[in-house]
Amino acid sequence: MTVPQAPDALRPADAATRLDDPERLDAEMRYMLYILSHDLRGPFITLRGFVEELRMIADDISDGLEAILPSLEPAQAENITMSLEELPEVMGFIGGAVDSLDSYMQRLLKLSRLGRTPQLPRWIEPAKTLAQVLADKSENAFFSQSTINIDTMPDVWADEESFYQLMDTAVTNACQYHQEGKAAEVNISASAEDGGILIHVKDNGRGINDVDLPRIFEPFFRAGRQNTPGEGMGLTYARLIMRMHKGKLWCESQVDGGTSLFMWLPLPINGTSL
Amino acid sequence: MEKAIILAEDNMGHARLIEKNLKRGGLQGKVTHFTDGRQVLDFLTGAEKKETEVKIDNTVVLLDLNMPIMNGFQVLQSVKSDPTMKSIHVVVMTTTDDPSEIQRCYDLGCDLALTKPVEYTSFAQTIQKLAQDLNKM
Repeated sequence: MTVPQAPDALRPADAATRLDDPERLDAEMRYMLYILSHDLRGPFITLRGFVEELRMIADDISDGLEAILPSLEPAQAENITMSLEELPEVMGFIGGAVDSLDSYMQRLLKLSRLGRTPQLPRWIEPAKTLAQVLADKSENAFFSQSTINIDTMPDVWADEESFYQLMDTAVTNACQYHQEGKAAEVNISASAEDGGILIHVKDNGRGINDVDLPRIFEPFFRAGRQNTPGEGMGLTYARLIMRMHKGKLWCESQVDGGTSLFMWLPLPINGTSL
Repeated sequence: MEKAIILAEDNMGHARLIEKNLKRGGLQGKVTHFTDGRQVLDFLTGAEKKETEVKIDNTVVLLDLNMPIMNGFQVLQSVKSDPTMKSIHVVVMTTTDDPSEIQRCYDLGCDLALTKPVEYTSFAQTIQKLAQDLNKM
């Protein structure tokens, strides 16, 4: 089996002393996720391949059967015809289940890849990143119908690509989950707090109820009505990015009262690494 | 002379799907299937010593990376570092879409590295196209 090198935190030297270290557990989880999603590709290829091959075989049998049907007993002929007619539905179910599994797997793979991507922090002007997000999403109806106010914001210390993803997720969620018949208004501000920069993305949207709120960072979880597109992974990626930046991420919300997403990114203390 | 295709693949399902689509793509040649890297090297070494009917310069290896006993990287490295075997065309067919693994194959001298697509229409197209390319090799 070809696997990537185990992350440093998983090397045996660490094993005896640091089994309960949160960073080690995190690295172990990401590594397992990679192995799982990577190695599942093989069985998927087999499944998808043979579902299609089975379809072709069924077609061949159907074609061949036409010629011999008249020579069969009527009941027997009807039985065989009915079974063959059921085949597309059966294969549709199998195919659909494989598609669904595949989609879960792709999302997990993306999460594990993100977790293994080295974070290269540098000084970033949040306003520039946000302007880029808005430009990239200019054709998205959720964005064009929303009012987005961006305050003056201090520079943050973050990986550029990850920070873009973070802002993209925060603003997309804020615009997308607006209240019915009420255009989204999103206010983005930031301030220096506790040795870092606290970014606050506040919307006037539909809000999240108390039961769902603790679960919004879980993979695949989508709160409330499912009437907007989404893979249920944005905040899971965001949480991972914040962990890798040793930052904090939390959310406050009220049903029909809007949601506030808080992202705290530490400033570099010594040197430049995370 | 008919081309000798060595299919090194430990997943029997994948091997069957590859063979089916090579045939559909019009491959002219005989496919011999092995399920681990050691068998492939033994076969090729035999060919080198003219113990088998296979001629080195008429052989193409279709190589999976994840195999027991001796994996695809080891086979690739052995073939491409051996002066008498290095002219053998090696096509890596891997399940991974990890760019670093693909790059490693090219670094080790493979002639072509393909990712097996998960979606079967693409898989079939990729292998059928490969069959045509193999005919030209």
